[in-house]
Amino acid sequence: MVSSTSASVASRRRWHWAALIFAVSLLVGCVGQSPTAPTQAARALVVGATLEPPTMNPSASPAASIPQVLLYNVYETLVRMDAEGKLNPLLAQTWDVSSDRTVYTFNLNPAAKFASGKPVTAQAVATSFNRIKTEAAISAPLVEQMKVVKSTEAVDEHTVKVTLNHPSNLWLYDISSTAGIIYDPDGLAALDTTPAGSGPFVLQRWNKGQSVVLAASGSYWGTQPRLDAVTFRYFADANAMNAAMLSGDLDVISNLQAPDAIDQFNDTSRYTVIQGTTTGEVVMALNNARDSLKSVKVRRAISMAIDKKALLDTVWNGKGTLIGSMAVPTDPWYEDLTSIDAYDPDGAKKLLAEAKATNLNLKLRVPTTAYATKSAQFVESALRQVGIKVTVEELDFATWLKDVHNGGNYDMSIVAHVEARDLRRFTDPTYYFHYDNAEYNKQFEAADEAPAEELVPLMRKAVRTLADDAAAVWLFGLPNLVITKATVTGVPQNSATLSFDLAPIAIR
Amino acid sequence: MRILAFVARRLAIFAVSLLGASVLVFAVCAALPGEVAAIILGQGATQAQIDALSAQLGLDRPAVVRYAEWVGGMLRGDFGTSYFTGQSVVQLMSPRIAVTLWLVLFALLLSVLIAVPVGMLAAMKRRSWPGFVASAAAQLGMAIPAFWAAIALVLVFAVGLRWLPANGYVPFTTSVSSWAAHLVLPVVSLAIVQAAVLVRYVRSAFIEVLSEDYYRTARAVGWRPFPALLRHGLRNAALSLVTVIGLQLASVLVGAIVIESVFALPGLGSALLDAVSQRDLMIVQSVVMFLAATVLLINFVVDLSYAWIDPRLRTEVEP
Repeated sequence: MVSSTSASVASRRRWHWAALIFAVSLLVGCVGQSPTAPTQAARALVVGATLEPPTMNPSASPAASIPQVLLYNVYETLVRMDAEGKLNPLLAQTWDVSSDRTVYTFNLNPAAKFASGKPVTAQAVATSFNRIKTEAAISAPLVEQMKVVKSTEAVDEHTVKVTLNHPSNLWLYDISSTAGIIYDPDGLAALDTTPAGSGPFVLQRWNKGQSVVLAASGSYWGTQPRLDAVTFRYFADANAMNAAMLSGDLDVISNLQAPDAIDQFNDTSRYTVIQGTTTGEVVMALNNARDSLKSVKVRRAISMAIDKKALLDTVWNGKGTLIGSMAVPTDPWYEDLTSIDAYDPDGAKKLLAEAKATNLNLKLRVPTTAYATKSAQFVESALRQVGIKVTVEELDFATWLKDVHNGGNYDMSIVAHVEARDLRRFTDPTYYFHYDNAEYNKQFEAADEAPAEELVPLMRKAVRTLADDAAAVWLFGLPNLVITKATVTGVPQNSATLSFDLAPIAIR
Repeated sequence: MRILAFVARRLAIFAVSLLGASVLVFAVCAALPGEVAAIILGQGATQAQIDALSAQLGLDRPAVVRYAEWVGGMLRGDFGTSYFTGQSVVQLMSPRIAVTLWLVLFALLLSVLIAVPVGMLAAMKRRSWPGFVASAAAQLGMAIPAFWAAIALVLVFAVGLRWLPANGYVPFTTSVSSWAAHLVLPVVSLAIVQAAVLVRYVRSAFIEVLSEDYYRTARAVGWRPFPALLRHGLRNAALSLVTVIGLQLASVLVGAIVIESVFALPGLGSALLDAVSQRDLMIVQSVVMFLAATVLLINFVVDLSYAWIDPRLRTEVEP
């Protein structure tokens, strides 16, 4: 009895062992497989990025993650901006401007065609521009940028006439970005999931929550790209992205989110570290509608109390540019204005005394992003040194958007304004800066409406006014920190647009 | 008869809990500050534009109406559509659920496979060094946060040795080996902590078994300690273990959210985080409700499984 039971136990035990060995061999089998086993095209690039596009429709959402993937790669515009911030022909071969500078005539490249095979016609341009003005769910910045357009008409198949309400230099820059995308009129219904563009790449697959895969279009009308397939992989966690780069799964980190981590990529035989500038300004907004902040002396004192160089070193590992006003180095009118209200705590105290601003108590309400919360701590302690008490409040982004950005319920706030040429924002007194300066508005308008050759000197004046008036505090310009494998070439140093432009990139 | 009454009572509790959960989930979501319309339109949108889009999305209607519509839809199997993309929540979330399901399932399985032998060892040798080592290891395992274990594993096996991918996911249907390779590290990181918690329960359950008459009898007729424990103890200890595993499911799901973030897995947790930050509340509501229903269902099944594991319960209820 006993022996028969132990025999069955023994046989069962053998079975257990067999199962265990099977399980272990399965595991080893997995480990033995190369992790990057899925078949890769010969010239495939894997790019790590932070935020996944919420939709594939660039006109439905202002999320910067959409043009990062699609602009210039899948969608094209009449004119394109290069890495130096200069405008070049793209779908338009040439353009003429009328003598009163309100009528632009674009001559389309007759070779240009959409991925569907249909030619890019003047009618397609008119449809693309008009829908921004007529459709309901168009993202707010696009509506604003295209407000100046009175009408867009197709003169003949390859000629488009755009009439503006008033001359605008910035408009031509604006249509080099999302606002100026030319859509295939046949694809408008499904833009949320299926792009309909004329670019060198097409959307192959969107793995929601994970990646967007682009493939070379094959029938592109212009210069063929030097890559066959490009995967944008998304990482909510900066460390996860760095680990993927270190383990060889990524070819490029499109923008390093933790600048402290840059030292991990010091090995130049394996990695190339590219440091440049972006269009993003980290702005400490001052609520100009608040009585306590209406005095220019108080605003200047706040700016002078903050050592921006030390802040940049503390917050962003010294990576970035000190800018001093609402312009970045790739803007044609950029000049270094950091000497205005440079760090001077004693001067700040003197200004506060002159303004009779004692016992200032300000609420600094920031979204919970790394650069904002770290900057807030620095600002709190810097302002304490000159006698300003600061209460820091961290809000999740949606709450911040409702309460601070749309509700105006704040004294000071910190956020990165990533859009290009966003100094226009200071002309709108209802915008959350609540900045209302007739002189600035006049200068901005004059620059925008001036003949093209006068744009730069006139815009410089406006930018300087913002700095002189301490309309806000410009903490730093966000750096373009790109890490690539040493075999990847052609990644431009600066990012003058929101696009991660794949055209110059190749693999050695 | 009594088993029917037992099942009916459990079923009633299950239904009432579901209803309570739905009210709670909806109320919490409605109380969140921030509007999805403001996020869709972006910085610079006027309040009029935001209100118009909110009305278009049906968000201007009273909360009671929206609640009734949501619950009514779920009863018909319709979990609503995403405010952000207009796609159905079911369509958006099904691939996400699959990822989390694999992760949680394998992590639970692995934690049991680790915890049962280690716990038995800790119980049998509790007065000598192997038992101490097992208990100490369990304590250590509990003290390690799952994300830390994850980062350490990535550094060693992905960055250092390059045996496994650092993160990401490949669906089962694309490549089985790649799918498995991408799951190894997440599953192990999640399982370590869960196994450590389980070991303590296994140990105390088996210590109890060691002092039972049936175990002494088995030993007396010539069974060696380990087989005796396996043959007679496992089923008895399983009763309390199943309860604990059922309870742990909730904490495994929470752990999975962290692990998904560390490993960039497109699972339910990361989808939920995105939806909360974008205030896509239809996704938030429906996913949280799905999770709550899953946990409640598991508890319901655990309750029922007592009757299956413990034959005494069966004979008692069927005289």
